[in-house]
Amino acid sequence: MLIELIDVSYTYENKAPHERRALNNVSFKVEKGEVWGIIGHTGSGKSTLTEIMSGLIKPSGGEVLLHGEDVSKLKNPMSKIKGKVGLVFQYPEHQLFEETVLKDICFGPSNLGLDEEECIKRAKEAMELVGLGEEYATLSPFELSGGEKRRVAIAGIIAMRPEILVLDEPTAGLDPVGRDMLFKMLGDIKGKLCESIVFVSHSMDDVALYADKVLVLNEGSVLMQGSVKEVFERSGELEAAGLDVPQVTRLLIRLNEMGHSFDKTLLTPEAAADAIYERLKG
Amino acid sequence: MLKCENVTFCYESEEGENRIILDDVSLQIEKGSFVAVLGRNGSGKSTLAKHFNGVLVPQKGRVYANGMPTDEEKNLFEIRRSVGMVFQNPDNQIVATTVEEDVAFGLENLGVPYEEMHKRVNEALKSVGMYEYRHKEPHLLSGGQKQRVAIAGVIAMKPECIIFDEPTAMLDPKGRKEVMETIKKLNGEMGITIVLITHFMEEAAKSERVIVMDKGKIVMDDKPGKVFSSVEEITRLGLDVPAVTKLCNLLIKKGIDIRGEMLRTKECAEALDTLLREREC
Repeated sequence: MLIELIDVSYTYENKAPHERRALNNVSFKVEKGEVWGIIGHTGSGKSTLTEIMSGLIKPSGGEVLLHGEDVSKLKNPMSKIKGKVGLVFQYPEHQLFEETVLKDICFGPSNLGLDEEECIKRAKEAMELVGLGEEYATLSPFELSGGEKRRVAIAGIIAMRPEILVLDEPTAGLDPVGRDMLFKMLGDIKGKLCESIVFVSHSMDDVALYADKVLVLNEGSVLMQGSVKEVFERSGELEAAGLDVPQVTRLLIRLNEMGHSFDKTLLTPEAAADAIYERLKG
Repeated sequence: MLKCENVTFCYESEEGENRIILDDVSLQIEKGSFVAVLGRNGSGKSTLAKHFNGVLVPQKGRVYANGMPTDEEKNLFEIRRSVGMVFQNPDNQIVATTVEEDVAFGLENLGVPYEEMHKRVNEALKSVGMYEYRHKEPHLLSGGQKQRVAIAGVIAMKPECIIFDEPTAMLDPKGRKEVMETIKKLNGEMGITIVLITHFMEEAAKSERVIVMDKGKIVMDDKPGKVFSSVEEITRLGLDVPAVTKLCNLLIKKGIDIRGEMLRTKECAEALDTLLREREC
């Protein structure tokens, strides 16, 4: 296992009047090769969880095991996690600051203490993985389109060659084509560089299509976790928790309520159309 | 209510090249209507929106808001009052330390007397369902609530039209639902003309008319049912159709006879239920 969280809790402003519990005994683990989707309402603790996984904040309780070693009690967990878990924030393009795309991407690896040659090598490798041609290297990041900027920001993280790439709402604000391209790109990155990917999303459709495993958070606690199929089988509970289920799932549930019997874990229009067609013609 | 005549708008890049953002766009939006504008990133949607109340002025052609040309400076004050705008990021639009004061901000700038201001702020907050939160600090609200406060700030100005530029892009499903319900209410109960720019096809399906933009031009302009039934065309333009519409289209291609506008889960389920029952008989 790459990273495992055991009974992790987090309280903002601990023991202060504004104390607020953001995470409650959350346990989950990411194995090599997995793509996890984390879903939940605003305020459910998704972002806090990504910050704990990447060592930005220490949990108030529980353990964070990286390759089996508890890093949460270290004085500076960052020293162990740095370079192993890469976190891409929401709207990461707002954080670009350098004069050129190449320099911006080199910032992460140079903070790992690598020499310039190695940084440039890694930056170029990262650019290729996110689909930015060499001609972008000398451009100012501020001249690029929103989608291109986001790719530069992601390249800056993967240039550190993290084993796990964690992304907080990577598709916010992108159009459908941009969204598909981003997930395709993540697939490439996973095949070539990172062992595992964890992404936070509001969109059940994105999770249904691109994740293998799903973690559903509700008010700081784990509501359910498991394979995409296992989680969507409990779509009633998801809806009761006020979460969006894919439109196709809603349709199949409605048809089942009308007395039909369809497998409600069919998530895509293609799969559902095939099943309905078979029933109509079969 | 809003009218564009042959509007062209270019941005100049650092190398001095002109990038055409709006290319000879003509369009009329009727009073009281609910229009959705779709298009890929960079298709010109937001630039078009900024023309409706004179934030941008076309380089060629003219825009009229409520009959007033936006390129005449003397009209701007009245145009901005009558055509309000709500943007994507609620945090960028909130200026005051309490909800109430935030909603009053625009009115203070107009010099509305205190009594009248109080009345209008309360009415506006009630119409978006945020009256109980009037004394709260905006940063303690959820995204959907903040966006409703931003909408209240616009409503307090008593606009005839509101332009929404991806108002739900940064919200979670619950916040999105709250904002969409508010928008529908403004249109249905208060008769405010709505222009909604969005990436969410399910939201566009709730409008009366969908305009699709591509490379600075209007490429489709029709009822949502008509627009989304051209699945290939929409996909080619880099957009999605609602998932149930796609599903029905796949069945139609396989030779199943489905008629009518399949935009919502309910209609689609009913149509399929009828077909499945016929088959069972």
